[in-house]
This record gives sequence, structure tokens and C-alpha cells, in this order.
Amino acid sequence: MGNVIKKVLVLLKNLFFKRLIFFIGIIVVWQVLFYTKLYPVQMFPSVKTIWDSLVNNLANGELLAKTGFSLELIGIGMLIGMILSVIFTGLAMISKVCRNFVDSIITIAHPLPGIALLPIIILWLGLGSNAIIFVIVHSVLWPMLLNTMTGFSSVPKLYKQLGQNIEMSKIKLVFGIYIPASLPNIYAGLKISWARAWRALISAEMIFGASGTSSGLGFYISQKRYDMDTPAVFAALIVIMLIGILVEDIFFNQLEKRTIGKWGMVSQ
Amino acid sequence: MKRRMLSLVIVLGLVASLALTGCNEAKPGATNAPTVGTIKIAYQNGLSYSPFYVMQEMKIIEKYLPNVKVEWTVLASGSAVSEGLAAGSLDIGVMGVAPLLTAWDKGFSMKIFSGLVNSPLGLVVLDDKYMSLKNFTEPNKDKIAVPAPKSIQHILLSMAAQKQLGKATALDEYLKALAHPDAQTALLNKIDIVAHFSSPPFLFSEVAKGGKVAVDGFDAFGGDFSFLVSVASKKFMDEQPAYAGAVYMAMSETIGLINSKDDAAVQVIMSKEKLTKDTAIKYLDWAGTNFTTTPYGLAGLAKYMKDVGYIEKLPASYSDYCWSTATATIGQRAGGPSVLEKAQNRK
Repeated sequence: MGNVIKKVLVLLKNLFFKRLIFFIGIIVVWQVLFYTKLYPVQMFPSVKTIWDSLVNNLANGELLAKTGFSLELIGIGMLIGMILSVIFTGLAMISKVCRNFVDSIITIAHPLPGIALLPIIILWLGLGSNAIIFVIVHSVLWPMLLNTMTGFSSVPKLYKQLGQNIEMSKIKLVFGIYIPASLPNIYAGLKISWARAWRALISAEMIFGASGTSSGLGFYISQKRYDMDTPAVFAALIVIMLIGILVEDIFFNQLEKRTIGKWGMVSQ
Repeated sequence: MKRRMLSLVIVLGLVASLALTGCNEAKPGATNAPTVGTIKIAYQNGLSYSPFYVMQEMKIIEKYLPNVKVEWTVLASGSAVSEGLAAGSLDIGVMGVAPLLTAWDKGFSMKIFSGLVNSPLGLVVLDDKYMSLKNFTEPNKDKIAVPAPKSIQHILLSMAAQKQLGKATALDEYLKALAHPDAQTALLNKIDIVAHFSSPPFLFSEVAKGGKVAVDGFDAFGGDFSFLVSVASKKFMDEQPAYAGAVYMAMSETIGLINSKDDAAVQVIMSKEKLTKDTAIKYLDWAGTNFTTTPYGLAGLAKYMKDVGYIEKLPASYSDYCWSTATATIGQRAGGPSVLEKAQNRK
């Protein structure tokens, strides 16, 4: 266990330093641009005002509450999307007709932006969180499904025959061979889905607005824009980026390391 | 007058012939002269912005400035207008007074150029139960749609809540931020909201489809107020005073045409809003509608916004956030306020 923590620390340190240099670079360029006064101060605030706004809005709990609300929605949406993609993949595995059907839906639905569906979603699902969750599910389901199915179909025939040889049932075959063998694809699907869901959520919230006192990061951005509070808009963008980095570095990387990395399924 | 009509007919004839022959033909008359500058103007969609699109379609600015190119942009939100003005990509735009005061408070370099329109806003409900604000009792069920928190619609609702319920924030947890078209669909189809703080033309069509006005905007405010004003950037006013003067003249002329229901102007409005002539006239004549270059209710709104903390400081005088084109229409009566000065405050 201690070994693992040590390894994580080394990895983080390495990444951390690379990123740190990158961020310092951005900050310096930003501040220099600020001093040139090429853009009005109200629209191009200094690094300090953005930092102050970030600290203030984190301290008063507003940003944290909005972030929590957004993360909750995304969690629900991703879970539903994953369950649905498992069901669809299962169906596609069972019969050829289903597979053609699922392929067709993916072709039709995958390129469709969730935001374009909003006017119809409002009529069907109303104006609450359900509508936003629907948009998230839509953006999660198709890439997830596409990747899982690609993974399943690229499982070597030999594995399948091996499973059949030792008389594995169909379900055992799926869980014992197909899923583990296509994990790299499933992870890729998860990563893409996460990024898509995050984008869909923020844009949906920006259009959709808030209900009473509960609202997420996207609405926070559009409200701060309405208030002409540009530093707070940047503060929210920083939070979005931080969450992206955290999820990517901590969650996905660790998940990969502990499963497919350990099993030698990806080249590290 | 006859000459004006004649020139109008000529201008319209030219526009029509251009439209028929396509834009590849040589440009007629004055526009053959080299263009010396551009004016960048933006407005949003909707009947209340009609002076701008009528001015565009009838080429009224070009009448005063034949050699100047006017670049028109239709923007989707008021936020984009203030950003464009601040960034210098716009010279003149249309905004609500509340966002303009926010912009002034934050130090954006733009001021009110002229009034544009006073409009009847109102809280539209379908169910008689909600005619009284006291009957909004369940924050999760009795939702009220407004375009955005701190919008004029939200402010008017707070003012009404202050009067009817004794507390400005009494209805804040009932709010649902929703753009007008979505709110209209939701209200009329009884989806999740029971009331919509609406503005023209949505207010008109909602009332036509059975909606009732539970709170009148002017009653809530206590007097008339400018729903929209035109706003000019400091850069434009400093660097192009002659252009500014011409735009002001053109705007006055256009508002005159709309108020007198000039045929050509009404035609433009009909085609833009996709209305029949009767409906267009009915909307323009809706009680409370007033296209005017004089701003109304400025001081009253500023004071309210300061009281509830939407802005941090109170303007010391109108010239803090109005160009002289606007302050001059309000005037300054010696020995006590004039009618128009009084009209800047809430009763």
C-alpha cells in the first residue's frame, strides 16, 4: 500500500512540475497582455482580480455549491448512460437484428448535438433537472456504446473459442472474456463520454438557466456574464479546468493503472 | 413634407430595384462616392427593437450620412451588446437600463445615447388563482419564469413582491431563469411554470391565448420606465461626433415614422415580426407602448438597484451614465423638477 502511494506521488510530482511550468507560462503571458491594455480591463482582468474572485467565491461557498450541483447531475447522467450502453451492447451481442438496429441508432443519434434537442426536451421532460440529465445521457450513451461495441468486436476469436471450449455460458463469456478483453476500449469510451458530458452539461445549463436557488456551474457563468463580473467568469472556467485535470489524472489514470495497466493490456 | 415623401419613395424604389436585380448591379446615386467610414450598430430580435430594423431597412442613417457604411448585427443577448461596446466592435447597441447601470457600476465606458421604448411588461398567468402574489405558496410547484435573475422582469417582480407581500425577495425561490420563447411555450403548455414575467411581443401573444396579466410592470415600478435604451461607446462619441449626431437624427425620424404608423415603416415591422397589418397596429397601439428618445425611470431604477445591492454606487447625476443626447431630453428645471425630471423617479 505504501508502495502505491509513493508511486502515485512520483507520478504526480512529475506531471505536476510539467503542468506547473505550463501554467506559469500562461499566467505570465496573461499578465503581460493585461499590462499592454490592448483590451478593456473589464473584459481582460488581471491575474490578481481573477485569483481574488476565485478565492472569494470559493470561500463564500457559492462556487462549491454550484460545482456540487453540476457534478451530481453529471454523475446521475453518466450512470444512466453507462447502464443503457451495457443494455444496448448486450442486445447487440445477442442478435444480429439488434446489432443492426443499434448501429443505425448510433449513426443517427451520435452526431446530433444535445443542445439542438433542447426545445423538444422541454416539451417532453419539462424544465427541471431531468431535461439536463437527458442531454447528458444523450452525450454519454453514443460514444460509450460505440467504443464498447468496437471493443467487443475486436476481441480475438481465439479467446472466444477458448471460453466456448471450457463450456462458459453466454453470460460468463460476456463478463469473463468480452468485458475484460475490451476494457481499453471501454475506458476510452468512458473518457470521451466524461468530456462530452461535461461540455453538454455546461452548455445546457447556460441555455437552460436555474430553478429557484439550485443551479450549476454553467448557469453561474451565464449569470456572472449577465452581471458583467468577468473575473468570476474566469474563476468558474478555472474550476471547470481543475475538475477536468483531477478526473483525468486521479480517477482515470489510477483506474487504468490498477486494471489494464497491471494486466499488461496497455503499453505504459 | 412632400419632398420627404418623394425621397422616401425613391429610396424604397431603389431598395426594391436592388432586391429585384440582385446586388451585383452598380450601386445607385450617392453610394457611388467613396465610403469614408463605418458605424457598427447591433440590436436584438423583437418588436421593441423595431426603430433599429426600420432604420436599417429604410436606410434612414444613410440619408444623413450618404458616404458612410452602416454595419448592422443582430445579436442574441444583451450581454453580447455590452461586451461588443466595451471591446470596440460596436458603436451603438440596445440594452435594458438595468444592465446599462451594471455596466456603469463596473466601469465599462458606455452611456445611454437615447431612450428607445417604454413597454408594457407584465406577469402573465393562466390560472386565476395566481392573480394574487399571495397565492404563490409552493416554491417547487408555483414556478415563475424570468429571463435572468437581476433582469428588469425580476426587478419588477421584486418591486411587486415588496408592495404585495412586504418583502422584495419573497418570490426569489420561485424563479426559473428561462428565455422568453421557452417561457412562453412552457406557460401555454402548462409545463413546470405557472407564471411568466413577459415583455412584448410575447406578452401580447400570451394574452391573446388566454393569459391574464397579474402584475402590471408600470404599477409595480410606480410610473413609466424605459424598457430599452440605445447605448453608445465612449470611443464612438469621442471620435465620431458627427456620426453620432446623424444617428440621433435618424433615430428621431424613425421613431416619428413608427409613432405616426407610416406605411413603409409598418410594412417593415409586419414582415420582420411576421404579423398581419391589423395585429401589427394592435401591438404598436398596446396601452403603455411608447417609442421615444426620452428615457424614463432612470433614477428610480438606479436607486432600487443600489438598495438591493445590484450596484455598489449610486450615480451622482444623469451625465454619469447618459450622453448629452439623453440628458438634454430630460432637462433640468430651475426651482424644482419638471414633469420629465419627475418621470425619472418612482412614485
